[in-house]
Amino acid sequence: MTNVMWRVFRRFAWAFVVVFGVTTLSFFLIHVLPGDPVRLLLGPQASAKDVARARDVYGFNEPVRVRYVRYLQRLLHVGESIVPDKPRDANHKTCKSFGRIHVDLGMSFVYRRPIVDLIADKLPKSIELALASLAVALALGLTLGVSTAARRGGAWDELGAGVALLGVSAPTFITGLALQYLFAHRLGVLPYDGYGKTSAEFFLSIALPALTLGIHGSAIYARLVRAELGATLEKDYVRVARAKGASRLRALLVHGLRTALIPVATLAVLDVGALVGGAVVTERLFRWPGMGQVAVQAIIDRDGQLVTATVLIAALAIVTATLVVDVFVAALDPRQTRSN
Amino acid sequence: MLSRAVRTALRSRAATIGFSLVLFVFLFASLGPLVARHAPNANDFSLAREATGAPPGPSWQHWLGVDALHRDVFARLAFGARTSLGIAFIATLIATFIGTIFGVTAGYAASARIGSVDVTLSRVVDVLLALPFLLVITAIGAALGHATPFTVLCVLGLSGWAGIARVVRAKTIQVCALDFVTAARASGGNASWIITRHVLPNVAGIIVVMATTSIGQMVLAEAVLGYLSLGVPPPDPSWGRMLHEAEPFFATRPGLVAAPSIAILITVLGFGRLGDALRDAFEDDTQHAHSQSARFPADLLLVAAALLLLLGLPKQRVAPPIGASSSTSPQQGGTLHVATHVNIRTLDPALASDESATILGDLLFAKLVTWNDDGQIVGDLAQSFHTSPDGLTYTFTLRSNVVFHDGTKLQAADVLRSLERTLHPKTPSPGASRYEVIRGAKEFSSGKTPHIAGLRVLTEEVFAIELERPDPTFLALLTLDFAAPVCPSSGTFVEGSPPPKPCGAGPFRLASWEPDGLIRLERHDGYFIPGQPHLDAIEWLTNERTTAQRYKFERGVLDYVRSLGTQDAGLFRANPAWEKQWTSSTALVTNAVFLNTELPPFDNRAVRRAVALALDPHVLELIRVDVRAIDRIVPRGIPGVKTTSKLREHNLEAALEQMRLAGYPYDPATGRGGYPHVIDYVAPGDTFEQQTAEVWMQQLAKIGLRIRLDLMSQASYLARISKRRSAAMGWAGWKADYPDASNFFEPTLSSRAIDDEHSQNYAFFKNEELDQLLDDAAREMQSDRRAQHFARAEEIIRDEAPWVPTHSPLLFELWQPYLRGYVPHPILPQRFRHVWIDEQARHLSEKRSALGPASVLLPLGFAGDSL
Repeated sequence: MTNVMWRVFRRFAWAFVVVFGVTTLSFFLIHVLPGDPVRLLLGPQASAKDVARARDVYGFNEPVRVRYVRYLQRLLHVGESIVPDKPRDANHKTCKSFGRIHVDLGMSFVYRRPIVDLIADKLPKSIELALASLAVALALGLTLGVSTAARRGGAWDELGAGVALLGVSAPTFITGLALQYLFAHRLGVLPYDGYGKTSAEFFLSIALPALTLGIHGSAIYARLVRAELGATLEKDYVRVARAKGASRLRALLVHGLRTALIPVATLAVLDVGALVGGAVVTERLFRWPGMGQVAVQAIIDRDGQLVTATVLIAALAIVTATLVVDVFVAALDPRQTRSN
Repeated sequence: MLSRAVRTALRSRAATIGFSLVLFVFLFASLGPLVARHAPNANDFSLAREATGAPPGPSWQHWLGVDALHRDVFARLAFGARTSLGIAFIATLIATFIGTIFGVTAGYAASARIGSVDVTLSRVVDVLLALPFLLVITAIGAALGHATPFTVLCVLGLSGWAGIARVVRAKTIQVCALDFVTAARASGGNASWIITRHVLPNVAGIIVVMATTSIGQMVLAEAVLGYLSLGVPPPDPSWGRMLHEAEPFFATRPGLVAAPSIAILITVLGFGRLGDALRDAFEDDTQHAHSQSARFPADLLLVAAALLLLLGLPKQRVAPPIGASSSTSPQQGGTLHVATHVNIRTLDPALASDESATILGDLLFAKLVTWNDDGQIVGDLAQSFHTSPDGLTYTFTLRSNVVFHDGTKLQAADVLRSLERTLHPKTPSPGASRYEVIRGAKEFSSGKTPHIAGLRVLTEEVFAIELERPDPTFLALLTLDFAAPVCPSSGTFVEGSPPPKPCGAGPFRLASWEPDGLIRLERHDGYFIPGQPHLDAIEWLTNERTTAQRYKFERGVLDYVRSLGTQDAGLFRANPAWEKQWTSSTALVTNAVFLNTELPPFDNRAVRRAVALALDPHVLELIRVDVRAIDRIVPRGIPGVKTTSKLREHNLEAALEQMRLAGYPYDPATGRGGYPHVIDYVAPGDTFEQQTAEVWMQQLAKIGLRIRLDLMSQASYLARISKRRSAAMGWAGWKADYPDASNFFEPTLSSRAIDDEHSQNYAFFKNEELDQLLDDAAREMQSDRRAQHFARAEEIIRDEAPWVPTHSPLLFELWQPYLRGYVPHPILPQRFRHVWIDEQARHLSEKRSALGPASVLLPLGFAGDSL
């Protein structure tokens, strides 16, 4: 038991190291990139004099390491719990409080909003899109994969495998443009873009972006499932099951899919982790107000604290995803963790 | 086992298909360039555009038509094949190789309980997956400098392996838990033997699947690198770049999208089939028995279907407008719907600098003075104003009935407080230094005095502004947002963030604002002009792509659009029913090529002149309908500028003569001579500026100047061109801050604008006569004499050629017939103050958008056209 506890502890310690390392790396990386954030913010036509003053106001004249230390000090600190709608203390303008624990990611100087507010606004929307597109990808991918594996070498297999290859190589901007043209403009059944406010509007508005990402994502699942199932179906235990009277479908779904689930789950969880960081092209195409746009714009605008914050979120998502995968794999295939 | 597997694989039918497809692609890459009739980068500007502005389609001359810059698509496809295939293939090999080693090692270590190895390797993968691709790529790009096919390979290979490593690790752990591995271990097999003998063959299947899938993705990833300015350097073609460049022509010339798509599709199918065959062979031998039996031409069908789908899209056209309005008397009420493709970040008048914020600023904030429809400055909040005879003191009398959005009354003190708010040392305003002509402004801005000495309140409604010297542009400065009076609640300065809610005295007040979303303005009932504004509200959608704007406009969801993509605009231009509903006017913007007068070869005036004579901006008018070629610095729309005779004309002979004078004679017939070194041209990537650079490159090659495009992000571009001795030549653009000729010379070409790190004089051009002329013009109150000064300045720039002015954009504006009273203003863009909406006419057009869902029942091709 202590052994398991120790392993869990070590796992979390490593997760912390990864998140901390990535955040620190990005904090310093954004500062060595060429380009002056203040000049970008003020526009190419602002005079050198105005730029110099703005740099001073925004605190860019302080050394990076001073800013880094302050960033860490502010990241998690203790303070009065913040009551919404009440004017905030000047020292905690950019904080979000959980009881007396404050989280402070700083101020985005391009969006001119506290970064915690920005992320609280955008992150849930990214997660919604990530889950919706994963659902589409898995539904399409598993159907295609299982149905092609069921009749290896047949006409449907050839066609289905080709469709899967096509899906993975079609860029989202082409699929997205085509879907928008067809469903929103020509047929008028789905909204062009935006984020629906009521739940009915929401489901309509998420359809196109989720479909765009899902079609792109489904191909790799279809290929994985087809490959894994094909191998499993020839295994002796499946033949035995078939010989004992299990239907072909049962052999496929119960015995075949189980082994295929491990690589599929690994990839799926990682995909969600990556998508939570934002799907840039699709979000832009459909005006989905998620993290992707923010993350890219932050790098383009050299908005250092915002970059660090988005990297922090992405790192947390990936690390969580990895932990989930490990637990999942252990649960699905106990052999891999046995004899501990 | 391996050789047997390969033999088995090659016998299968999937392999035959895959092999022939891959062979076909390789043959195309090797032989295609030989049969192509054109060079891949040569522009053929002898061809005319179609009515919609789309580039001409396939012909005997150009088998697959030409692209946006009139280059032969077939030639580009053939040459691009070499680049794309090479990069995709090698990058995949690199990524798969590293990913496999990492994955198998980590996976084996995990199951063999060598925890530390697995943990270390896995965490490295985690870090790589967590760091944003864009950040890593930008950093690598900055470190590597120029993008070459080799750096592209490295970037793609090194960034693509992490995902493969994770999947391979998972599979390896799974395999290692199987009995035969346990048995092998029990019988004393060492790690390397177990891995090569038992683990690798069993994970090979999944590796092959991942790798073959990755080839197609790598072709596209190269395109992504392309628009981050890190791909294969343009103008050299690659399939990914061709696809990206074809995106705007999705509707009007689907063939441009189809060509690279089909090429990528065939490649992906070919490698995919080969991979399937190999994987099947690694598994039980009983597999290939039935894969051979299939006789189904699935791949041919797929390619044909994709081709049909792309080319068979009904040719797009726009429906005519509905709901013509004949009403002439303004109606009250209604909501105006507009959109912009940019993100509006701030509406605070002291901070905003981009055009969209200025357009909204015109509605939210009234200024002391403004421009009337004839381009004259007239009072707005000021009832009257006069200047003292020495030109140093301006006295303003305010209207007595002006109320801010928060209900407080406007007084003279508010105007002065608002000016001080913009100039305050704690306000990071981009425009504060423009007001230094006010007496005492410099001292106030640097924090030495508590108030600006030159601002004086005389009575509640009268105040005076004193200047240090006469300034003919001072009133123009007061028309800008920076000088807009704001409510007392807005504070005495604007701390970086968050700024207070915008509050002014304009006809509309801000009702709500979703960041990156909808901005809603509502009528300000206390507006000082009775009966104005006519509208109840304006809804402004931000961050909306121009194509989506076009769709929504067609459906009557938007009432006004502008700056549509040139292809979308072309559709409306081509339809005579829309003729009365659009205008196209020159924007007050100058685009130019700057030549750094401190760096060779442009420290030689003759070379600069040669460039000015060799560039022919008129071809840009062929490429895009929304561009006008220019030959001078100051754009036409600036008041008081007389466009007389032509200043400069394209002349290849004269350009060659200048090259000879410069000591670099060039013989166009043999291609010998010219300037011996390659010159870098700096521009932001993935923009129209990049496309113009690709054209200039071809034109300058004709006089013996060899150009390499150095494309970068906007941030790097700005840093690069404003640094001394850093960029020899590149794109330069300037937009009027206020409509005056001095605004185009003083910040860009006077020696006062030179700075070692933050120069706005990108050419580092020093000319005493020009400096003197600008000084004189800054003090000259007589407009005729000022105009003469600027005319002379234009001649100096023509003769010295530190900038070669090339083009101004044209603003295309389009509105619905029921939007009444909209007249494009000569100076203020997109001015909605006085418009009104004919609700009856709009109601008719709403029926069209209501028809939307019903059109599902109609056959696709007729849905839009029948309405």
